Amino acid sequence: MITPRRVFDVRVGIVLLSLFIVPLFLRQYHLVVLNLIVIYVIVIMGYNFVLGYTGLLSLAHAALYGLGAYSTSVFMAKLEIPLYLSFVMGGVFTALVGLLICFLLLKTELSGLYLGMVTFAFAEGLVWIFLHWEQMTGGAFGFAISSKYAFQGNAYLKSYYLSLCCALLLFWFAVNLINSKWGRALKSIRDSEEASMAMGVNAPAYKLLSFVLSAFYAGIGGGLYSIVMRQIYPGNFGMHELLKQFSMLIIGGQGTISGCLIGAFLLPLLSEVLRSVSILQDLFYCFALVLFMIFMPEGISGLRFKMRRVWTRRMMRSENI
Amino acid sequence: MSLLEILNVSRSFGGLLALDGVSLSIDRGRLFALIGPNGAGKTTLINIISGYYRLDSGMVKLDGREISNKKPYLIRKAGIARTFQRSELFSSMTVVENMLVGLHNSIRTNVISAGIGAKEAREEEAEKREKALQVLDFIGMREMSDVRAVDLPFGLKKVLELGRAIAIPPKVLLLDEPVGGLNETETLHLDRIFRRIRDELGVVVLVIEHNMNFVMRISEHIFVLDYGKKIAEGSPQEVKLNPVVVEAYLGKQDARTERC
Repeated sequence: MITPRRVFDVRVGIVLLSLFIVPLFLRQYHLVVLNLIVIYVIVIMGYNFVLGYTGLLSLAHAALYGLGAYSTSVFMAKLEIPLYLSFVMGGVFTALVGLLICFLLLKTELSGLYLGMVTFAFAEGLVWIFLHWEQMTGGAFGFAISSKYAFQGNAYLKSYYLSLCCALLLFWFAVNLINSKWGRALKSIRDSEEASMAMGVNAPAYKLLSFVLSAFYAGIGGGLYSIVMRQIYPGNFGMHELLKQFSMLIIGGQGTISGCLIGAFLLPLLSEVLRSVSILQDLFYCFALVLFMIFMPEGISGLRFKMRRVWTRRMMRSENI
Repeated sequence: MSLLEILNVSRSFGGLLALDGVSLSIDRGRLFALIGPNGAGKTTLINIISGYYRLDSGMVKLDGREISNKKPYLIRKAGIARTFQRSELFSSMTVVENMLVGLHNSIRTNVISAGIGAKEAREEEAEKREKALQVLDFIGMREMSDVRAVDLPFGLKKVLELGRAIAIPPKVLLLDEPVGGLNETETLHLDRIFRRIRDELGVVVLVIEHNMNFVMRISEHIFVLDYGKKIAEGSPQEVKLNPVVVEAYLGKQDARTERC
C-alpha cells in the first residue's frame, strides 16, 4: 500500500525528478503522449474513487471528463477567463454537475446495474448536448481554442508541467484521503454497505462525496486535455473513451492508487505501439479487458494481495502446528 | 426506567405478520437472550431495533428517547451496535482497518485536513490506530492486524465482527447468532469475550442464538418468541421448564405423558 510516509522515499524522488527533467529532451509527439498519460492518471484516480473504492458502477465518467473539457474551453475562449483559473473552474463545474446527478441517484435509491444504466443514459445525454448545442460547443466540427488564449511559446512543454503539477497534487490528496477515515468509509461501503452503516457510517453522504470527488478529478483532467489538444470533439468522450478508462482501471487494479498509475501508464503506451493499425487498438482494449476480468479481476496491482494471501495461509498453518 | 424498551412492535411482510405486538424491556448490566423456532421473528426484531427495517406500529426507546424508524447509522450513534447472522466483514480490508471503521465516529478529522495530510489529522490517525490495536488485544487478535479479513478462518471472522462492534463501546449490543457454525472450543472463547464485554465495558448484550447449550450457559434472562409473539420470558431455568416453550419447540406433549 502507498502510505504517506513512503511517498517520500528516495526512489520516488528519482522518479519525480525524471518526470520533470526527461520531457526537456523529448520530441513534441512523445511529449504529447506523456502529457496524455499524466492526464489519464488524474482521470483514472477519479474513476477509482467511485468505481474502485465505493463500488458504484458509474458509466458517466468519460462524459464528465468531456464536460470538464468543454466547460474549460468555454470559460477560456468564450468568457476569456485566464487559463489557470478556467480549468479549475471547469473542475468545480463538473463536480457540481456530479453532485446533482448523485443527489438524484440517492433520492431514487438506485444501486448496482440500475445505477449503471442511469449514469450511462446521463452520459449519452451529455454527449448529445456536446454534439447539438452548436453555438456553444461547435457541434460535430468540435471546439477549437484559438492560440491567443492558450500557452504561448513552448506550449506543449508548459502544458505538460501544468498537468504534472496537478497530477502530483491530486495524487497526494488521494493517497492521504484513502488512508484516512474518509477512504476507509468508502471502502467499507463497497465491501458491505449494511455493516458499514452498522458502524455508524453515513453511507449516502459518503457515496455523494465519492461521486463529487470523482467528477472533480474528471473535470480537471478534461480541462487539461482541452488545454493540451486545443481542439475537442464530442466523439472524444463517448462509449469508446469510457471503455478505455474502464480498461485502464480494471487492468491496473481497481481499488488501489498504484493500480491507477499502472493502468494509466501501461495502456496508452501499448496502444501507441499499435497506432499504425488503428483497428487493433480497439481489439486490444477489449481483449485485455476480458482476459483480466476472467483471470486477474484484481488487476496488476492486485498481484501483491495474492502474494500476501499465500503468506497468510502459511502463517496460519505454522501456528496450527 | 429500563435501558432499551420495545413497546408493542408489529411488522408484516405482505400478508405475513412477522412481529405481532412484541414488548420487551432490557435493563442495564445483564446478558439477555432471544430464542424461538425458525421464523419466529427474532432477526426481524433486531433489524427493527437497529433501523434496517421500518416498524408498522409500536415504539422503540433507548434511554427514554424514541429511536424507532431512524437510519441505521444514527442508531449506532445513539448507542446500539449489532452484528450480522452471515459474517459481514469488510473483506478486502485488513483486520486493523476493519477495527478502524468500527472507530469511525470517534475520528473527528474533516475531509480537507485528511486530504492534505495535516499534522493533527496524522496524529489523530496514529492515536486511533493504537486504540484499534488495543481493541484487537481485547479480543486476542493483535498478531493478525495486517491480515486481510477475507483470508481469516471462519471462527476468527466472528470474533473480529464482535470486536468491531464494540470498538466504540455501545450501550446495547445486538448479536445475531454469534456462535452459529462454530465448534465448542471457539464457542467457549466467545463466551469469555461476552462476559468481559458485559463486565469490563458495561455493555448490555442481547443475543439471538440457536445453540441452546450456549444460551443456557451465558444468559441471565431469556425472551422466547414464536410466530411473531412473545410467549415467555424469565431465567434460563424458568424458560426451560415452561410448558408453552416446550410446546413451541417440540410440539404438543404426546399421549404417553397423558397416560402417566
